[in-house]
Amino acid sequence: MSKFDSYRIEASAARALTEWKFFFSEQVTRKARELAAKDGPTSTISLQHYQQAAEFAADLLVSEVQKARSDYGDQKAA
Amino acid sequence: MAIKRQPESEFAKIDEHALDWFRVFLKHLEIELIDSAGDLPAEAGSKDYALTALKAARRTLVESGLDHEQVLALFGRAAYAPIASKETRKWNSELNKRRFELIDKDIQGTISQTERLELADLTQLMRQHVDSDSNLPMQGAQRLHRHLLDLEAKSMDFDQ
Repeated sequence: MSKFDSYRIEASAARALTEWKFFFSEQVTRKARELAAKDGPTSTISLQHYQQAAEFAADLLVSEVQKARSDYGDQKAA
Repeated sequence: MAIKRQPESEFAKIDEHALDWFRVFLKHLEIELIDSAGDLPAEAGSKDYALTALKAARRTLVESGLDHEQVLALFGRAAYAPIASKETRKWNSELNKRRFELIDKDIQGTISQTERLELADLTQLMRQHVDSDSNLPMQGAQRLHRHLLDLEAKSMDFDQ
């Protein structure tokens, strides 16, 4: 696809993607910290902690997107 | 966009607070970029995108609480710092001389935008040098301390 037949993207969609990425990374960080703390007195958060945390955060992200969709639907209907 | 970088060790560790700061900065930077992208003309190219990205980075830093001078100094440091290595630059007489040349140009109104950035970088480097521990006049303080101890000893001898 050349630059001249590319899609235009709604700014609100691009902003939403930024928010989701941030939400996901915040949840991964928070959960990974919790998992590392459970493992004992260590000051290191590992890739394994991040992998487990990412699965947890992915579920939360799905809920977050669905909630935003239903909120948007309610706003349109009103 | 391919950028060559030295691979980090698998065991390298990153400070948590630094990553937290970068994450929040990136979020705000992305939102600034999205807001700026709407103003780009249809014929814009990669240089326009790069300039837009730098302007957005500047606005994001200002919104984080830095003032214009601080942001200019940071841009100067980023522009003149070595890209590939982690070496730190040391303040020296050559840099001091160059800084005075740039100040003269600034006063005469002949300084270019690039030189203004260089001046901001050199001023920041000079301030770091002045504030550093290695620059504390310890030798002079130690000489004075010895001198005062000698005076006190002589005074005690005199009293006896």
